[in-house]
Amino acid sequence: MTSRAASALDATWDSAPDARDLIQEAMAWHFDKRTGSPFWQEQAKKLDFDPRKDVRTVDDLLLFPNIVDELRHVRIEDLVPRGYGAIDSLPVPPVIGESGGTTGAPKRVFMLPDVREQSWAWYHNRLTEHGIKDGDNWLGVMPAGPHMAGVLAGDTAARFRSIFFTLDLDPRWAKLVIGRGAADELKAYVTHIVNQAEWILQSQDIRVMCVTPPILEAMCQRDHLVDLINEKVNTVIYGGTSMDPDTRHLLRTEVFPNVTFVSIFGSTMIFCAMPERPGADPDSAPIFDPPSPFSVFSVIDPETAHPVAYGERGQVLTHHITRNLFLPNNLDRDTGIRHEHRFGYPGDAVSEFKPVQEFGAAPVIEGVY
Amino acid sequence: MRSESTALAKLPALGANGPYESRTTEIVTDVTGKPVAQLSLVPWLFAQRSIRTLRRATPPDPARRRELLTEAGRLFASGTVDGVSPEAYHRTMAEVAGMPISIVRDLTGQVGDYAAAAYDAVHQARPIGAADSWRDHRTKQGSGVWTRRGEVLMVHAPANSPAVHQAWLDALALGYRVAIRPSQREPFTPYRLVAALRAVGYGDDQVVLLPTDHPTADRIISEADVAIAFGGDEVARRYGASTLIMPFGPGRSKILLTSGVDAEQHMDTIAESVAGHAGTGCVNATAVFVEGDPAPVAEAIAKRLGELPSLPPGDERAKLPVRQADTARAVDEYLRGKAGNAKPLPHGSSVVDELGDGSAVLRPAVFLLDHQDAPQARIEMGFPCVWIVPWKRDGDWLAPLRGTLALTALTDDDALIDALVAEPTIDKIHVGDHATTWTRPGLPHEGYLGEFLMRTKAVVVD
Repeated sequence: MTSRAASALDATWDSAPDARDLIQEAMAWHFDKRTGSPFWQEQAKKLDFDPRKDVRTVDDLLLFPNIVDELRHVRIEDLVPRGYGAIDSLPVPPVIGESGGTTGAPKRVFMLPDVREQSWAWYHNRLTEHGIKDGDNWLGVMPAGPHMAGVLAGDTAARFRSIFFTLDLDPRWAKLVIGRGAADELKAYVTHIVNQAEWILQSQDIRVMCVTPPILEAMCQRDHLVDLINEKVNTVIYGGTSMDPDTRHLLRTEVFPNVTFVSIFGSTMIFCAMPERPGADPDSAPIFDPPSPFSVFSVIDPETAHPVAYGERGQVLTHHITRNLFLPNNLDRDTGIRHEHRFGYPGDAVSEFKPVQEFGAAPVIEGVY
Repeated sequence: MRSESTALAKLPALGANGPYESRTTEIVTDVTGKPVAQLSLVPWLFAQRSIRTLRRATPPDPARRRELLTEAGRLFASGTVDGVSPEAYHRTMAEVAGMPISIVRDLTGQVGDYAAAAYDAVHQARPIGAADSWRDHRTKQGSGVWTRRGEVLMVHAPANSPAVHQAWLDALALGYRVAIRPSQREPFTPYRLVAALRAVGYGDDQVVLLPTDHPTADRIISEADVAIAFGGDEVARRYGASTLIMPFGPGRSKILLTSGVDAEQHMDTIAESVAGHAGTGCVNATAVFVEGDPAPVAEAIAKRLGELPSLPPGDERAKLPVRQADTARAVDEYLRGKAGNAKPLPHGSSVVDELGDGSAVLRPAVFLLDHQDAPQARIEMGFPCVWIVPWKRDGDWLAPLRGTLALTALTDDDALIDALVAEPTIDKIHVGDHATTWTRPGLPHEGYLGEFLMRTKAVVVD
């Protein structure tokens, strides 16, 4: 195990290794027959370059095709690097996580204890920068099941030595109902969720609440619940969907003036969640610094593949490089504003994530209104 | 080149705690594409909190409401509101909505006058068995009392005419608190009206202006007790099921000419019905049914409407609506696609007349159809567009006349008038030379709005 510990792949995410070291060791691991996954071995046959020779820098990762769509149907067994040994001989079986599942079949990935420790420890350390304290009870109004966010929240609460209260939120069902335009049904579902959260808040000493913006907004429809949150909760961690800056401002200044708000950006394809940069001007949009070089953002012009200027909007390209998974060159559906990474790590930090908009001529509306 | 250095006018939301400037804004442009104002768009949370504040507020007493509405109407029509003179408002409204300025002046004047009449007008809807207050002496013996069905009315306002804002003045007169979500295309009229109401003493917690994007607009409807939503068939379908939402759907107003009636004699009425107020209203006629040969009538209407000049909306002589040129071309294309075998008059004409500054006049469209069940006759557009249809009294002769807001019947056949008045899907019957656009305060529109906003309960007081 001494050779593993010395590898950049096994460094803690808080002591970022040199990107070149990480990439070269990742290539050696994922593209060696003895250690790489069956999936990448198959993919490697189609490449017109040799990853172990030709890929050394973050820019070289652009040589790879974007394979994330394959994750919608590939067997998990084929994704696990052979270097970990046979699946049934692993100390802990892989934990499975899935992407949102809004654009067809979800993408499916896995994690093993080594990367779970790296990613979760890094997340925990970032949250301590926002003043979250050991022993403060958590309420997770979060999806459990295939979405990693619920597992991460529960594990993180445990890392803070806190009790984790939770309920079950099914965002895929909510999105389906929204897509169908069934306003009444959505309302009923949201009421069901808010009721459950309210029962927990009434009887338990909740200090930290993890929630999605739409559920938080729905909570604001109940004055007594707003009072309860103001009385008990010191930190609201929110993510899953974006929150517009006006709503964020209202929540922080008018509705919950004494509560700390921490926005989270997470993505299954980079296998981590990141709290907003601490200490920023409360009126500016939250900025997200990824744990480079393990997960890297580049904000680019999709036409030229060159980075846009700092402060400009571009499409977000991600790379994920760990011993578990190698997911390079993924041009995301999101756009964002490019910033320098707060620690000067490779790649960019990003604010104001937004889906790529589809432009088209507005349809003619019949009628006089 | 003249540099456009002047800062854009800011149009804040008017929330329950005063004006509110948001970070998310939308640029309102005029019909040439020039930016005119920066409109604050409020998030759902803001709208929701404003509506809650409205619900908790107490309305002014009835006498005070009548007084304030009268005063606000006067200020709206002829005073300076928020530093904006009536002339400047009319000009902005014309340039942004593409509505001819003389019509803007006329319609906004009507809105101002209506404010003074609203209190009395809305009480036309009160059942004769219902008293206005439990304090009325009739409750000693037991009486119906007219009461609100809720406290807060939400209005999804359209941009087609300033006159649509009369509807919610009725609600204020009844003591409702009102939240208006203006059209992003024309927020100026409701802004001015709300600002005028506040200037004369209506509290910030009585009436609010909440500009939002479309998804938010749909979501906040359910926060209010009752709502009015204007829109096409789509809105009518989406909200039709809820008892608390009154959808104002398409008007599909019509004219009926029975045999022996000389169309030429009534051409003023017909032209006003089709193209009055620039033809943008739900009360503008979309079809003319002719008993006998419709072709000469169609030609006469086309000739008459063809005389209307193509002018920019700010011109005093303008009579026709103006849109951004690409919007106008899309409208033309849409209409051609839908017209099918209808015969356009004059032949092969386009409705688009570009003014060369990025805008285009939408010229009147007149089509001749060959049978009374032709589906095109139900197509309603936001400019003068009329389908001339032959009509016979055989089979289900009433069928093509159903689903009508205003019907002008040029006939002297009392039996026919009986049938039209009895028909439940026709809202307004005008017999003789009253254009479909004619109205006066105190008349029902799609029924009395008071029927929707109010209910009657039994009260006895010893």
